[in-house]
Amino acid sequence: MTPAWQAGVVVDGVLVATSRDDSSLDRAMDRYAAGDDAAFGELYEGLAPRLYGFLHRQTRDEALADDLLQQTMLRIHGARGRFVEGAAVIPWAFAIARRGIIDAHRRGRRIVLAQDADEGDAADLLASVDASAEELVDAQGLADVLRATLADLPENQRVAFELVKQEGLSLGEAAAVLGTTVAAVKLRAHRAYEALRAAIARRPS
Amino acid sequence: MTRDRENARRLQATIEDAIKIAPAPSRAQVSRTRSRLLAAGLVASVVAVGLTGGVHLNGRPTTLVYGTLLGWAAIAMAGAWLAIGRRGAMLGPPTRLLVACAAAMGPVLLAWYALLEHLLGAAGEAAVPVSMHVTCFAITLAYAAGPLAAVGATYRAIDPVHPRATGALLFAAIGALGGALIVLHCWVGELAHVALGHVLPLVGLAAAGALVGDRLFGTTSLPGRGRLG
Repeated sequence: MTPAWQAGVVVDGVLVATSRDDSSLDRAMDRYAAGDDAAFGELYEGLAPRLYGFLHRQTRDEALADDLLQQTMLRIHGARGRFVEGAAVIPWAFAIARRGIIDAHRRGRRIVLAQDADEGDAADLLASVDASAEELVDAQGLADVLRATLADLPENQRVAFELVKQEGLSLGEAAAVLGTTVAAVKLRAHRAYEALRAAIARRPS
Repeated sequence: MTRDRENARRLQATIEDAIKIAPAPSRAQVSRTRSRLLAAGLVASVVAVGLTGGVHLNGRPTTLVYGTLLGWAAIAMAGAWLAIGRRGAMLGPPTRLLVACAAAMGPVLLAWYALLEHLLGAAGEAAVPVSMHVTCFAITLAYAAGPLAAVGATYRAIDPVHPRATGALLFAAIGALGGALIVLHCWVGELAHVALGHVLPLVGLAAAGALVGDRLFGTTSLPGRGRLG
């Protein structure tokens, strides 16, 4: 169930990586770093929806997600002169966004996975675990199970899973965002995947 | 993911207004400032070496002095490169690698010195008073001060992932540079003195780098809220 704009990498029947063509965004960031202020609009259009989706999934709080999105975009703007020519902007942006979440958590902002998510999330989640047609029949119930399972996962497994399987970052990019190795990200995402599969298997038919 | 479009549009307008009010320097401007400050930092170190009396060989083998200087400087550069060299990407190596390199830097410097001393058959001095350790400790820090200030000013907010580890390794590398320079000044070759007077400062700097890393190198130090936000 991989969207057309994603290229999946499957190992032993498990979708371990997806990738997207972000080269136009990288070029926009390059132009913006070089001083082309007009490139910010293009950058915002490309980054903001993805960052918001990530932030909202992590916080389940629209106002907080908006606040963190603003922080992230302003920090990208503030650090634009340090952007390395030819570098990928997406992993960097996600790393800044994640740092914002961690800082908010440290400041005492309550960040929880809520029980009410919209159907878009459920569909994303189902697509990301490569669910079968039968499982899709009871999508909402299944989504509830998956959401609860994801919420119970350790933060590092949940974020690794989301970055790789939902945001389409490569394993290397996700490892850089999380400050760890590719092997560790693969393991974390796989454990999350296995937990979701087990939750689906335990679910009463 | 459904989202109120009006809210999203308003947020975008707020952000765009905020960046108009507070423009950020471009890559070329940052690069120019960085080059100037780093050059000034290195000049400050060289001036500090001059002010403390310049090179004192005092009968030491030239190969030992310059071998230590070059070896330690190379190790310092490698550490700094690992910490802030971005190699075509914006995010650095894994946290554990940075921490391991910061922790290993002191022992590696000592091992390099001991190896040279052994190969060159240079006899170490007899035990020296504690005051000499303290003096060299302070001078090593003074030699490192210029590059430290330059790096702290020019590499702000470069690491959203592990700024503390980056701070530890970068400060350790600059401490190693200070240690490399003090070998020109201090003729005491006793290994314990080299460890306490020349290498220990980098350990302290690594700890300081870990402490201030979040503020200096983390993106948290960048404004995250526009005046309108």
